[in-house]
Amino acid sequence: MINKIVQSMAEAMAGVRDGSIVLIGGFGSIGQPNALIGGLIEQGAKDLTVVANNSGVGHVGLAALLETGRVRKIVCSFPRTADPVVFEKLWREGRIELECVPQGTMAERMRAAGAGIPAFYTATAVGTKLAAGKEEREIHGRKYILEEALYGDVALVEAWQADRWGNLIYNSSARNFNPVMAAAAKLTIVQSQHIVELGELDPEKVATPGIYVNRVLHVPYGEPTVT
Amino acid sequence: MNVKTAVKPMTRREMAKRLADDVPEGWYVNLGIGAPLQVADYVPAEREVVFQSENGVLGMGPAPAPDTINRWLINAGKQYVTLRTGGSYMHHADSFALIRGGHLDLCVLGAFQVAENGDIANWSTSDNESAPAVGGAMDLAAGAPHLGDDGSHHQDRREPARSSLQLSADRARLRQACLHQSRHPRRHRGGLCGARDGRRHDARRLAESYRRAAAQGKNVAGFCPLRASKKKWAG
Repeated sequence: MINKIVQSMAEAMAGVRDGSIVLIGGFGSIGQPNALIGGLIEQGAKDLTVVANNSGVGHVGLAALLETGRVRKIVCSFPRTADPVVFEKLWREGRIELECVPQGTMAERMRAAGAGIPAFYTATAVGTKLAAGKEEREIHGRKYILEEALYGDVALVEAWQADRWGNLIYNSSARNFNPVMAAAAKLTIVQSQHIVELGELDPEKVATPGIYVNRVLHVPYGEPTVT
Repeated sequence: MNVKTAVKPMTRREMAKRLADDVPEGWYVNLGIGAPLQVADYVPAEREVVFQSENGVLGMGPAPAPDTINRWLINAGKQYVTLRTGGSYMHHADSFALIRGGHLDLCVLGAFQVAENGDIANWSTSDNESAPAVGGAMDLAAGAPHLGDDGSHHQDRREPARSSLQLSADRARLRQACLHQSRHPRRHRGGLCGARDGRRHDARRLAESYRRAAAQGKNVAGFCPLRASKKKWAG
């Protein structure tokens, strides 16, 4: 019997290694798996590269992870949020490396990773500083740059409903990067508000099929705070 | 702010209203964070315009009443919004596929600078106090105006220069402008800007006047649609 539901945070985080590339879902705090981030802090892996759209707010969630000093580098489209105190401090002190990536390129690089596409051409960022050092090519009269796939060792994902096969459904705009990251990582760990019986999820509505998921932890935390 | 022009500045609300007047029924429109989001407030409910938010919302509606907030439904500026009847959700790669794939009719971006060739700067790397933050604007600028709609794609396709952003903006001179571009250049000449004098200008002409004024040592803010915002971005 396939059962990806794990019973404890320790079980969920087992085997996350130092030096891992960790993809963390969410757009701001919505869809961000804060419980799993807490579990990763507890687990203690260090020298991490984190891929996330934002860089954390205040001292909670992603910001709390950064504050441990265990994140060497962050790949991010928008490291400015309402209160990016932790990131800004680390960045000014030169204690964290930042790779600033256009949001669509970031999403597509992870989609490519999940789909077995090693690199792709895009018009986004052509002629700008973010294109520095990248191969440029003209196709049918328009210039493009080559962007490489962005693979994760681990993905931390937040879902609304999950079953024991790891099929996932999300809630409204909390879907955001989560399905893309689930497919792009070798080890995908999910926190889900609800666990349902196999067969209860409408197959037409499953946004992440269980094939992309390794572990699911039940975290009924309630409502997110928007930041 | 010491503005050395005689024109009456438009407020952000007036700008948003003016832009909203230009958006025809049936268009798919992305609104950038900040001032552009207000455009949605001025499109009448009976005119079916589909607003997209980069975080995977197509058919975004206005802000909810306090007692009906869906805590999982936000816009690109991380404010609570609603979903219109007919709206849908998608993941980030699909959201940007529709942006980069040229499926939108229009995007309204808040920008720091507009150059004479139509390039815009939406963020700066010259300020050492805060880290660079690009968000989704480059994808929008490259994708939204990409294709024509009438088969003459090559004629209507914009030059690459128009789709790129200049990132070397000097923060001391940064001003916020509002630029919207269309994938239907024949119907809706691309690069229209609302200006402080209440008239619409072609982006190139606006940028040209901006450049001339700056060369003459004038305060260029007078030629920009919107004043620079001191408020930190929420994005």
